[in-house]
Amino acid sequence: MSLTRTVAIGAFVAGWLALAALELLARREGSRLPTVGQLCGYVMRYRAGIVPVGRIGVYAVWCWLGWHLFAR
Amino acid sequence: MDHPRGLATPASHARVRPRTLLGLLVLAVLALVGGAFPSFSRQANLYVLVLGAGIAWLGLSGRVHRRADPARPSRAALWWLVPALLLAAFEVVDLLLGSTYPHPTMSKLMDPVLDHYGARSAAYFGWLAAFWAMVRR
Repeated sequence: MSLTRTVAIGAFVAGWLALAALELLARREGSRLPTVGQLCGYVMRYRAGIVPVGRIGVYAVWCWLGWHLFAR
Repeated sequence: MDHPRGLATPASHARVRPRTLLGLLVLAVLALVGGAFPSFSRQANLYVLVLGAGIAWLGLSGRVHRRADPARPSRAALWWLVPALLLAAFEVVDLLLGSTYPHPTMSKLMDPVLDHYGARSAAYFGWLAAFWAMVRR
């Protein structure tokens, strides 16, 4: 296995472990850290006039992810 | 499921509502069907696009009951940027380098895992469940 591949896999594993650790910390009693769900909820609240830009953006990213993983 | 802290009883935590159970069952069936379609097939493209568009429409139409608006997050939320930027940086750099064996992107690494029906269906379920959770937010 090449060094660059090892570094990339290590970085991805570290990143996902850090995300999981933050989510666990956020779910502790009295934590000031928002959960990823609360963060998404806040982003989706953003509107430009009557257009729910935040919600459309988050849904678009999620649709693209599903298409990328399961269809392409 | 969110409850006001200190008000939830052990019984309310232990009980799973029939509607929640039915929702999970529907997502599981949709995931089991979706997991059967191989990548790059017309069925896989059509299925994921119809599901995504359908769930997005439900979320945008306001037909689904949403939770109360979340409060503005504290500055502690910035901690989320650390792993997010790390993942994004490696993903973008590896993508620009061609997403090859020495420079793999996350989806490239996931390909052999998602070739198996069980893992593919489980990932599909996770995608659908997270999407539904966002519709409820």
